[in-house]
Amino acid sequence: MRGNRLWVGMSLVMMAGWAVLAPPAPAEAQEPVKLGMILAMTGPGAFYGQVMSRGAQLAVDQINKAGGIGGRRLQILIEDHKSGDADAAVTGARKLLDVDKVPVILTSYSAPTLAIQPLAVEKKVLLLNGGGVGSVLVGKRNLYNTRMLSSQTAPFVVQWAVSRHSAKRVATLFWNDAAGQGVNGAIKEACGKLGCQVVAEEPHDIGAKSYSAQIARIKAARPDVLALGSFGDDVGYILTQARAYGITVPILGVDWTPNAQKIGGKTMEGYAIAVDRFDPAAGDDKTKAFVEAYKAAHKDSPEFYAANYYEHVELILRPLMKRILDRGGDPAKQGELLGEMERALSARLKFASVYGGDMQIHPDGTVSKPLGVYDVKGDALTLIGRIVDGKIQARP
Amino acid sequence: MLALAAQLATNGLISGSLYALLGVSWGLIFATTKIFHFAHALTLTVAVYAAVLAVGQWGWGLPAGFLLAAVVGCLFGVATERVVYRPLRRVNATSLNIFLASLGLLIAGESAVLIVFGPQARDLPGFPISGIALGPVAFTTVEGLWLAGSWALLLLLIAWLWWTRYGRAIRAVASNRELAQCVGIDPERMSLLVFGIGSALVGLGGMLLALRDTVSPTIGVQPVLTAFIAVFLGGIGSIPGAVLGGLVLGLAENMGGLLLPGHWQGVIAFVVLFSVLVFRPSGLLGVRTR
Repeated sequence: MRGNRLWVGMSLVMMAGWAVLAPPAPAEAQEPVKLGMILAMTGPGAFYGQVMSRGAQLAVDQINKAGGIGGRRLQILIEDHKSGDADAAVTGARKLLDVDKVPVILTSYSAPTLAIQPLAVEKKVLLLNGGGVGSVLVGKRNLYNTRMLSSQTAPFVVQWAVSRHSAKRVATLFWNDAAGQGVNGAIKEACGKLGCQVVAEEPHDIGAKSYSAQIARIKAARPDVLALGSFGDDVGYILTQARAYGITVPILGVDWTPNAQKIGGKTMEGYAIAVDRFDPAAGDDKTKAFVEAYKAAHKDSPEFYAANYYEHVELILRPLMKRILDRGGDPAKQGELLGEMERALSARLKFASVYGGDMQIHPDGTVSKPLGVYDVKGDALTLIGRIVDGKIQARP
Repeated sequence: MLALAAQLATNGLISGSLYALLGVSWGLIFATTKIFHFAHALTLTVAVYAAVLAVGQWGWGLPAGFLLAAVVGCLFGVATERVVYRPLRRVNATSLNIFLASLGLLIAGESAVLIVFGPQARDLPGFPISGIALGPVAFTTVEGLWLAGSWALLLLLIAWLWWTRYGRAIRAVASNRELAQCVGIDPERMSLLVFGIGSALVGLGGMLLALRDTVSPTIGVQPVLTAFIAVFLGGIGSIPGAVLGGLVLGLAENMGGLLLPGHWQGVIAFVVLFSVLVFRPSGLLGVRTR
């Protein structure tokens, strides 16, 4: 018994000694900086959630493999907004903000982003959106969009329709949410300026799959072009059904994905979009490095949604965190990243972009990136016009 | 305007035919067993996923996929009746208990499909989709198959119900369970039979749907909700009523496009249901009961 007491006593003394004499924990042992994401992980937009999370995770893996940012490792926490459900987004955001105490949330879709923005303001948390395009996302506190919004891209759809197709009568078919309505509103406004008339406006549910009633009404309105404010797989279904129902006029839009191309097949031929498009084949070193790393990880070329969320972590949050650490702050603390972002924008700091060159984020939360008009040839997009100083310069 | 009306009527006839098939698949079970079989949506999902796996990954042909969906649907429906509903009936569970069990099965089943197959939408390959134009109206080859397939199955079922011994026995149980039992019909056996037939039909209906739409774990809910509306619209307990309910629903949803934007279809469906139920609470062809 006495022997046992001796051993216990010695152990306690050794533990106390270790606690006093041991060196402080290295930086790597500190709590990781948690990055929240609210994405479409289930539902009709699950494709987006998958590629967006892959893009961000790739950046996090690269940073952690290199020892973190100033020794601080990163960790991604993902919540699901079920492809646009604002209630699900708010539930996810409350968990991320109150339980996980994240200093930043990477968000997607317009309605979920709008729904969580007041919560982010309350907690002084930075919001980065690389997916939603609704014009209602402009000028929202704490929110910075790294994808050009519909109010920025849709006018070029109309410009293209008028200049290339001499369109006088435009019909619109769009998501019945903030994003789609934003595109529709921007098209109507641009049409008013460029002398064309919107002859049919048909909203549809996200992921509707059947558009027969809308297409019948559009066909009856005899438009010169059909402009889409729909996204993702819906574009493929719309093209298939519109062509099958005998709509032969040019169809233009603001979104294209490989999955939509797969669904639409040959009916996608000639479909044209105005978009800030990421080109995996571009020559920039950052682009090349990102594309190669993504391909190595996922055996697939990155989508521009993957590029946007990779950019969020690697090219926006990383430099911001480094600035915070350099001045002795804690990037994991709510308010720090937001404050640093605001300081960076006041100093008109440009962020590098995997699109090539830099991206300029504006204080109203919009971004300027290379913008172009593309159309589908075969099963891929081809650049047919560059946008310079607000005008489309068609490629010969 | 005339061309638009013709196109919308065609659309209505096409979607109404599929609604009729789905309505009959559920209405047959409900009329015979009085079970509010919400898990019918899960049967559709399971049957279609089995076929998508066979056609998309194992390289089976599309006809074999249809056959598999019918078989899997039938077996799943029968298993649901034997494993879930019959034990509940034996302990005198109320209709509400059984409905809640069905709802629980649907939620748990959808989650299981989500875990096993993931959230990503899948498609059913192998059917050439193109347009068919007939004068002022146009539709796709898939929609043509909806029309032909739905009516072929509906007519076959109606003929079987009216002109065969088992068909008449099912109608007898649906009409009066106790009286049918008195003349030697086993209602439990008939329950099993209608679960098998109704579930095979919803599997086939799901396949028709999957030819146009992508397949996700929640694919079954919306079509089965539409089936409920068709059944209540047409009259509970009436198979011709479910067919008529489906057609009226499809036509009303689409013809509403003459006056309202296309995305109001869902609202129109409920307005039609409400209006019919106010003036004819037993549905269009339902039998008034005191």
